[in-house]
Amino acid sequence: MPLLANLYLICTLLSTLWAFGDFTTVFFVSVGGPTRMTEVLTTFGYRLAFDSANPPIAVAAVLSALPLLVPIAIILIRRVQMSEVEP
Amino acid sequence: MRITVRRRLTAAGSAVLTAVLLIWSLLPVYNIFLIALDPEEGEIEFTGNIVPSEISFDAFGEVFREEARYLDIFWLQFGNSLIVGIATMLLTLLVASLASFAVGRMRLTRNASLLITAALATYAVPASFLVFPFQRVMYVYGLYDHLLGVVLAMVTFAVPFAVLLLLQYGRLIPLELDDAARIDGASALQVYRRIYLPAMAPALAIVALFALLVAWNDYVYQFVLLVSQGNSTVAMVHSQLFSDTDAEWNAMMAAAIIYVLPPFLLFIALRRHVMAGLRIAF
Repeated sequence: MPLLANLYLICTLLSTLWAFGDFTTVFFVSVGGPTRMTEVLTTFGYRLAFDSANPPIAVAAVLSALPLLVPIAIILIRRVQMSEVEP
Repeated sequence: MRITVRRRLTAAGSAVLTAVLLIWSLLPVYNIFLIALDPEEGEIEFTGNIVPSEISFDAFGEVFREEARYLDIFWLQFGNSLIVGIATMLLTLLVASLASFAVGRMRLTRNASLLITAALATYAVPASFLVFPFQRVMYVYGLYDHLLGVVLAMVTFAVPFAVLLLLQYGRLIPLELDDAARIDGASALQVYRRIYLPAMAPALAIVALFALLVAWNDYVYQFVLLVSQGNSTVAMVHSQLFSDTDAEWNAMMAAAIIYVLPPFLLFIALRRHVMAGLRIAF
């Protein structure tokens, strides 16, 4: 387990990042409904961009997650570089 | 005495855990087959039967003859999916192998960490967030409602991880091999083709499978970037299932099973390489 710790962390962080961008599951299961209770950022962005035809607002909305995502990405990059020094 | 009891308990515990995990992950697959093999539009799901009383392959026949609702141009859509998947796979292999060769083997930079950093940084923004700018970009380039537009978008998402994987694997191949080839007068391109590509075969197999799955699992890009009927893909058809209260579930599930086959066959074909690659790389 200690030997694999870094790998586990990298996988967890990567799947966290990927889960943030999950559109298909929510869009198929509930389309963000009922009354938009289950909306996630991407379905919200989709609604703004294509239903209300306002792509700039949509991009602004989804990019509001960046303050959360960038630190995760930074930790991820550090960890990957760590695993490179000592393979 | 006590030790054997404890050992047996551990064995039983791990067996139970394995069983639970297996059921957890295989239940949806079983459900797909259950509905696809049902003679009556997949009503079996609501009857509470776990074991089908009768099995029929009518749904597959309907899909093959393109008779079921929504599936009237299934083979055209299947072909479109194949084009997108295979083109994504080949382009990703080409771009990622050339990039990792240049950075990892040609001693252009002191270390490859900058490229890895840049590649991983692109994952800070999830792919589905980028669909909005991509739609505009593809529109400007005239690739909107064009399969090539989807392919190019998919390649941009598959390449960073592919380069990371190839660079990691490339460390296992001694640079002296390249040097030996160069002393014998091989050009960079020859080293790439004759030394690098054959030696990297297991990693390339994993990258190929990964790239195909990226394109195969994608829905949102195909949904946004492709509009016309002639360009639609299987993934787009399946979404129509959810807005219909009386869809032909068994035919749709049969189509889903057929859709699963290409990546599955590729995995079988590359199994030896993929397993070898996984064992060495991790």
